Amino acid sequence: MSSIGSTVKTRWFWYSMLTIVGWAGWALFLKIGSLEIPSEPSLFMQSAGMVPLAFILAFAANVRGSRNKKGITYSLLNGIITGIGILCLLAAYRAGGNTSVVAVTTALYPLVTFALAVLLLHEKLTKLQTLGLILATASIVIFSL
Amino acid sequence: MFLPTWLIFTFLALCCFGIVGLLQKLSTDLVSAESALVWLIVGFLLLEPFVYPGQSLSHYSMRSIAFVLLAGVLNSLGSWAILAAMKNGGKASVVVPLTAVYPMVVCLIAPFVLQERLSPMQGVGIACALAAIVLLAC
Repeated sequence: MSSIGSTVKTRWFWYSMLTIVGWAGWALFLKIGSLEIPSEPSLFMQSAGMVPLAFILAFAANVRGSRNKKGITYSLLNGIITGIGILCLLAAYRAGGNTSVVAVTTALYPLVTFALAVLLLHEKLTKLQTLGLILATASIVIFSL
Repeated sequence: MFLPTWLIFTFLALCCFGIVGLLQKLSTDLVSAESALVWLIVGFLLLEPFVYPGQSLSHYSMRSIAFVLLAGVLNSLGSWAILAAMKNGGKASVVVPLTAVYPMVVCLIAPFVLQERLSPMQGVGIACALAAIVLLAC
């Protein structure tokens, strides 16, 4: 349990918590907005909502000074693949996929990342963290039902 | 073997979202989290023509438009934070499942904001998510 104490002192843990708060707000506001606006116009508009932060950051010193071509390519691919993933998700719903099955299946994405990170980045998890991964996946599946 | 179209799209979406986690780590090993976010948004915007609704958006209420725009702002904030988490030493295999439990917060807030009831199953989901956060932090 002492490792929890040391983890909560790390920056990455608190940035992860901020991600949870940000994405929870995103999901909540999107849900309220989607009561009236269908998914595709909504996706178009929320992308517009992402522009202001990108615009502000584009002038930040650590963006102008951070020009590794490989890093930029990975980041661009990150955005493109996210967009393709969302388009595939919408296509799955449109092609008659059962909403619950599609939602639950796509919610398993941390397992794909885990497998790739172990295979390609040689990351290792402790037994407790592996149990945490399983519980996180279980909770995501439950929420997507 | 015949695979229905929807299932192919579902697995493609699953793979895309899974690969994104890896790319987040790879990109922040080489550039700042802020730079990674700017280029991520540029990449995302390249697909805008494919989701352009082709009709005026003005017939939607300002309230709904404001909520969706705000959702976009919060999405970019969350995306910046996950990139910053990886930039600051977080492992992709830990940060991605840890942050994926964000629906837990929605379930906790929804009864107050959307007047929705928390189901017993969602209660189990929240318990699993909280335990997962503790274990992944070990």
